[in-house]
Amino acid sequence: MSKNEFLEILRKNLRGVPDADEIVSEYENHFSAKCADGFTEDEVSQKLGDPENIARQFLPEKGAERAAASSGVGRAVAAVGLGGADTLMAMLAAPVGGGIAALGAAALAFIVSAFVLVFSPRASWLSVPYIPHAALRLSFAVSLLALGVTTAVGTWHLARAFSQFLRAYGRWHSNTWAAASGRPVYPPRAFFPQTPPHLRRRIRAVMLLSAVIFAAAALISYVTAAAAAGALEFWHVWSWFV
Amino acid sequence: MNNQYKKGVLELCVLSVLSRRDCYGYDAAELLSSRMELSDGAVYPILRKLKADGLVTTYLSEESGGPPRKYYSMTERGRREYQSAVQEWISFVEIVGDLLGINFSSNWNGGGV
Repeated sequence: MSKNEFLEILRKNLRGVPDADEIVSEYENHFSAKCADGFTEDEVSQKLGDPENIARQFLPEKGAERAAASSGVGRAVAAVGLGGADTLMAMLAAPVGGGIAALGAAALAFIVSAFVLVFSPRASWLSVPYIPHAALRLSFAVSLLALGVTTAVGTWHLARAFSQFLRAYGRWHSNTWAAASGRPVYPPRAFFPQTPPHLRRRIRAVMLLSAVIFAAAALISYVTAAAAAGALEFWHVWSWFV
Repeated sequence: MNNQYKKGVLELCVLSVLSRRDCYGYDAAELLSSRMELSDGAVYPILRKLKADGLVTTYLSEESGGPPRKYYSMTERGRREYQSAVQEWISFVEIVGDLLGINFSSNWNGGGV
């Protein structure tokens, strides 16, 4: 086989291989060097081996090829699926996130109101309802504070669960995409926060305690206020809502 | 020698040539084919794979009165991989030798009593 024949067959069978020209030129150099050493083109190509066979050794391996082919389809499917899942997720996450934020704002409002009630009962910048007795104001404040704490701890717990859920979803999203693209996958994240038992017990205790304090203080405040105003609907007597 | 045998160890052989000195493709093919039955053409795909794996790099070097030659040179990473591949090869050969009953110092008795 002549040099030109050899290189032609090689070139034809290297179609689709990156840097095919570079490969061919390397074999061309081989011919030049060998011929300079006194071998004939025929001898050189004999020694080189079958050009078709050589070209095959430059082709990507079968497994890699299949992975590359499937990833095209896999990625298209994954893109559509992930797009749908993301939309659904956004529709779920927006109201839940908004709800949690509102709950947090409520908790803050309860706690601020409690302090205002005690320390500046006549604050002009806040419409604090009129309560004629200091002790009664304190009792109302305690119930508000307890309600604020219950709400705040609940909000914090919900926010933690929500953010854990979002992060787990994010991991799932990137893993699904990585798997479709043939890239390595990270271990999945837990969809629920992994709260250690001692922390879980403490949260439950704080929630329960503040809820009980709220109920008790609210009841005492109501009874006392009703007695002081001489009416069950004491807020009318003190004209709260006019 | 069986072709399947050679295919697996050829990479190691090419690395061993490059661990001694930088070579151009023709040079490496000559060196190897003078020692083992090997078609010259088979060395280039291996060099290319080693380059793609980052075990060797190439550089062009002007020769007196000729076109520049593409030299292959081992990278640091190639050197490390080569060292560990040699260790692997040694223990592999020992085990196979053991199994074939070549190494008589071992406890292996060929499955007999």
